[in-house]
Amino acid sequence: MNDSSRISPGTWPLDESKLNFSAWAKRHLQSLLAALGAMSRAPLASAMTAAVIGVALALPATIAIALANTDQITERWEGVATLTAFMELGVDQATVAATADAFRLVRAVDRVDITTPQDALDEYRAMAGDNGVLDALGETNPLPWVLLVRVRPDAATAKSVEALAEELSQRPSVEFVDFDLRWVTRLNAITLLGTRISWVVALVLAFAVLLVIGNTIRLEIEHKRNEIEVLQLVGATHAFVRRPFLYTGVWYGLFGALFAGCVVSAALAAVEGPVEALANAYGSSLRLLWPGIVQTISLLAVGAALGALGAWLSVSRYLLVKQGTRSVDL
Amino acid sequence: MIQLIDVHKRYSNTGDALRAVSLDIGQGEFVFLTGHSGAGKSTLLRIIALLERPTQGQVLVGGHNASKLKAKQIPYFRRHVGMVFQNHRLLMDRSVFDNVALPLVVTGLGHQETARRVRAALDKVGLLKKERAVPITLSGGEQQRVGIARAVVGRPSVLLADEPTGNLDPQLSREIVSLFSDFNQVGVTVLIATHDVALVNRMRQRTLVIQEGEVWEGYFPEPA
Repeated sequence: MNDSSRISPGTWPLDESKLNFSAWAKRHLQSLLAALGAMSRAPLASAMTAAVIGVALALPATIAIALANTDQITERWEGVATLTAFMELGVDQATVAATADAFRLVRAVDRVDITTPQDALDEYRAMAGDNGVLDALGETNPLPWVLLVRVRPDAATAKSVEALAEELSQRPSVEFVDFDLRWVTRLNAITLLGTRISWVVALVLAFAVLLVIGNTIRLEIEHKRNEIEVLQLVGATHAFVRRPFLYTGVWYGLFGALFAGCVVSAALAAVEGPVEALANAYGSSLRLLWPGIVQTISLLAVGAALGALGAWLSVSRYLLVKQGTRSVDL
Repeated sequence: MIQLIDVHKRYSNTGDALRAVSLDIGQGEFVFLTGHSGAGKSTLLRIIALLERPTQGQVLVGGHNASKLKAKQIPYFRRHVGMVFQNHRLLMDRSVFDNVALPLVVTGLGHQETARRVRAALDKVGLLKKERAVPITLSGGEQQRVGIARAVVGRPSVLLADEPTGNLDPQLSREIVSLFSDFNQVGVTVLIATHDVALVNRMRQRTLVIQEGEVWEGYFPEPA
């Protein structure tokens, strides 16, 4: 015999009363605003909780924006990959010109510029200042001829530039080939490491945010124990009991994310001047990359989601623990 | 309406609260449950309201077998049961109106219908003028009537009251019980746990006596 056949005609209906969408949306909006109102009644405590969450979110956000800036540097660098081919000492200008012409025939090469030993010496003199050391050389110039090889942008990957350097260094009269892509490769490796670290930090701190919000909500649940019991007594579902706490968690997460956004902006503002000075010193037009609308919305969404999740875990744990025990004291 | 079959409740720390309790309360009955404090009255009411599960035995309320109900269904079950407590269990930071509205708010009833029914319930218990008041400013009798209004506002089939007159003088007690009688007149099944023997004797209603965890029929009125 199944259950329904045993139930008498007077059986109480226990089916969920489905709300229509506008009623449902209204309830949620009310909860959303009520949670904000409750927080505003204890502004200092709420602000401090949000600030703690904000600090926890600010660190991974700062790392993320720093990495975005580093990516920008490596991308620019790869775009102008340049090889420097040092000629053997004592080769004559004709040989150098011939080598340069040979280089120009290589597919990956964009253009080749020739630096004479005299140019190099002048450049060095300009950089190092007239300190007498160069004068001691007299008329002899110890510097070699140099070919500056600009790589075509489409061939400017670490691998192809390395292959090109290898190929060019095999040419006669070429002493050796240097390229700054090694530096880019290292930077790439560092960036990769940084990305990994930021993920680890972000995960650990996301966990911290969950704990902070979970604990804040737990205290609020303790504070409202009586109210929750009365609500359950008059037939409130778990979802009904949970909803205001979820929205409180969402607000904490959102305000925490806003706080984190302010921290990141302040940090960027603080380093913007020095970064510009550094870029200028390198003759680069690089400018600091600020977080865009997508990153800002992502930060807020992550904050809100962590807030909701932390609150959900906290309330669910409370409801689960209570389910097995005496739920209401008469 | 309420049927208990061989219900046993044991607490790990205090021992047996109920032993082999069987009872049957039909729809529309008015029943007193008497006994000394600690005899198991509250436990029995808690089991009927599904606030607790029996250690063994069957509980059938409103056509549902309590042990077969899922946790999800229990809130919907409770909406059919009104409960009144000795200490009222009102929310002191909310107005009388908001307290009474709670059972309707949790169902998601519309604002206007809620207000209409809350005012009807408050009118019934004679507190319509106090709807804006905060419970703490009311007398004990008034607070109890707010509790009763909250218990009936959802139009429950069963009204359970645990010592509803516990802190009230005889005059107020009579008023409170006559309120329960009124609800019983319109078909609500009423079960009142009380140790006020004078009150029970005066009302001449079916009475269940609970002593040391066992229940038997005390008084059964002659059919009219």
